Amino acid sequence: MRKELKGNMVLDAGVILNLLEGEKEEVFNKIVRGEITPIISEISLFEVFYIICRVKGETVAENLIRKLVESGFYSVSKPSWRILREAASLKCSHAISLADCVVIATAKAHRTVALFNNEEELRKNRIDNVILI
Amino acid sequence: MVEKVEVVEKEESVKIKTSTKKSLMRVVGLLQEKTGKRVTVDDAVAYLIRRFEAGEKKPELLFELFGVLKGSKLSQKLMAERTLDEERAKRKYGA
Repeated sequence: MRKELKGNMVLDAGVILNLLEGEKEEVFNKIVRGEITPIISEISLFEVFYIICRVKGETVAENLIRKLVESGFYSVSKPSWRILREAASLKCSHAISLADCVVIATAKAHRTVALFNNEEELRKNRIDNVILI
Repeated sequence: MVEKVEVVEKEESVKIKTSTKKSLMRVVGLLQEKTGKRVTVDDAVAYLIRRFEAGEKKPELLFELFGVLKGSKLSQKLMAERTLDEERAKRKYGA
């Protein structure tokens, strides 16, 4: 059974990009209603920025990231050494991307869950504080 | 008959810089202007705390962003880039 989507959640870059693409409407509605309080790691913002930049250019990327932060709905989390250390430990023991490790470690530091797209590597690895949608 | 007793909350002092006090008094003035009522320093601090806790949310920006890049297949591009990064790391560090 899927864990309930509510409360503080660290959103992976893939989920943010999905929202920009008009997907994951359930997540979007819950953010608007305040049922989900989204947290984004700066590493995810970095990923969202460079992916948009490659497709739409730097000005669009800059503009969209600014609006995302200015909306006031997202808390941006700086990866401290404690988070990076935890991410490194995850990266050491699991075959998942560096950014995924930082998102999971950020969720752990905030004592909450990380929300990801249904990625194969994460499905295989079965990590406690991860929700796949 | 027992009269209703009003409980008055205890007041305390806090030290703030002269420049902060000046800004705070400006907020008191603006609130008085806005409400047309007498506003105390305590009212102004409570107002600022309420605003801080509520945050400045702009749902119109969220609605503007939802679907703004429809059909761009961005999340697939992200997955492909992450895979390439992993392959580069393997070539570079062999692990």
